[in-house]
Amino acid sequence: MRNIAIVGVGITKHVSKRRDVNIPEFVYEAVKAAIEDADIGIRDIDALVTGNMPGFEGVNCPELWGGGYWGGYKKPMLRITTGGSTGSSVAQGAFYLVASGVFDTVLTMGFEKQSDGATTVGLESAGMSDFVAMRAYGMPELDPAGAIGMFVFQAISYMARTGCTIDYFDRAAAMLRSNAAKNPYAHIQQQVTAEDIADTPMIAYPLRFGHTCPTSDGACAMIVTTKEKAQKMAKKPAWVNGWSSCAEEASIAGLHGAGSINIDPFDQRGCKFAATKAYAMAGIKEPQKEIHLAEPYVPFAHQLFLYPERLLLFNEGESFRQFDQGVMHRDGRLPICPSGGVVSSNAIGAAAMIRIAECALQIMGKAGERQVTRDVHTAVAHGLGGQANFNVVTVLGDKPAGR
Amino acid sequence: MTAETEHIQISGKWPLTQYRWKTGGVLDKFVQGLRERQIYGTKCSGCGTVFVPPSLICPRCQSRLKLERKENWIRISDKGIVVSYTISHMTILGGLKERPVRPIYIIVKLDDTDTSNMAQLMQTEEDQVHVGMRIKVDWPDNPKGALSDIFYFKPLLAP
Repeated sequence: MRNIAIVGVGITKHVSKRRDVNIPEFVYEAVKAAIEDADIGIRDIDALVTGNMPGFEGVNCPELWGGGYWGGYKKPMLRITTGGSTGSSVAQGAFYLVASGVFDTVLTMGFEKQSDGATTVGLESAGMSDFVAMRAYGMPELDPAGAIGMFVFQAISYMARTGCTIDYFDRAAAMLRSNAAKNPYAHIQQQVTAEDIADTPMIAYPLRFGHTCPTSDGACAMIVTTKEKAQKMAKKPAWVNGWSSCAEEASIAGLHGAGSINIDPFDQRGCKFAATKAYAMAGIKEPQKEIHLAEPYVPFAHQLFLYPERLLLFNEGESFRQFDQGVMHRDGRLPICPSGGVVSSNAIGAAAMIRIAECALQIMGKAGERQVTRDVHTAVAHGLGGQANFNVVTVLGDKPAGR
Repeated sequence: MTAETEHIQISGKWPLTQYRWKTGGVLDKFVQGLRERQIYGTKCSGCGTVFVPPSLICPRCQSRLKLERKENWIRISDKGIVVSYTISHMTILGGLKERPVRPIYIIVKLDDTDTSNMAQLMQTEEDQVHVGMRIKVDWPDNPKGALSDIFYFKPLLAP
């Protein structure tokens, strides 16, 4: 297997509505930025991997419309969709293509233009066959309030098992939104306090409005290439040294998920499994000591504590206590989501790719005002999708893995 | 483009009747049992995992359930525990709105099973619900053989 690296990153400014451009024009902005960042031309791209949640915009084959705009003319193109983890699955599609030797330089992009569509209708389209089946067997009408209806059970489990309390979620959200204030691409850029968050209304106990992600228009693109080309294209490439993903049975919602073995969404064994494999591939033996920065997928505040533990960066139930000591802050020992995370910017198909892109920017030293205080030699990015049953983990470094 | 012309509305319907999703037959025996207030689960012949509702193919070991074999079907208690819960303050039906009455939604694990389901907890104050709480099915007076028969639970006071 070949060593591979990210040499270019493009992220659009996230907003709730970009009404001046259509979907292909919007994604083009990220593609153009990534190509310029790598200082290459579209002719240098051998293949493309794209993805989003098609039902969310109601355009079920967006590359039919945008393929030409994104440089796909006369080139192989793949689409990958795995729910919230789409962006990271799409990126890993590009990693496999380059590492395997099939293509040298691959452009990968993830996007969502939610103002063009209806997110709730999109979510329903993902589960409609299940709902119809449940109704056919006499299930009463349910209103679990969208994605929060799945993750809220995870928050309660985390509290019950670790002793964490809601005021930690308030402080977690305040840190993330304040980090986003330094991120020019973030959607909600607010310098807020935990008290401000605590004043927001409760949506589903224990998660408040201030603990939850917005719906954003946003796109991200990256250039992935081989060792030889990376060393020519970039002064300091971000090496993609390990990656893995894990699909578990769905949890909780839906008829098929209802008969699930994954009885507690707190467990997230799939995340631990994927992290273990990705660290091994990257040659990382002690992630707690060897990882310098993490971008877990955090659309809800409690996940700032849950996922760093499942990524094996803290012992189970310890991360919120570490948070108290400033470990996760931008100037801490192990900064978590210095970008502001998904809780501040949530363009579904882009969100999980941005976790990888943000790690790459930190390693390249190109994160601008949100660059963390400590040196970043290694970083881990995470994507979460489906009904919390797809976990995608990527490990990056400032040196290629020894293989 | 002005604000007035920004939205084009095309009226229509989402023709769900055009889709022909097969619901699957594995639940038939399950819902028939509910009419007699009896919950049936299936036990995987490969790894022993107990499913409620029944699962035709075990996601863990991929064994296929033989529906006709009696030993694969087991009787399940209508008592269990709260694995997790939420109190739903808002509804999203027709926009984010405060609810007049807040339902308590729970994740239930019935005794001696390996699966969990979402349900609603009745007859319980908000400050009483907790993880690990003992509960039982709040059966309707006349169960009709539908999933709604086991959607409502109540606290189990006496063990």
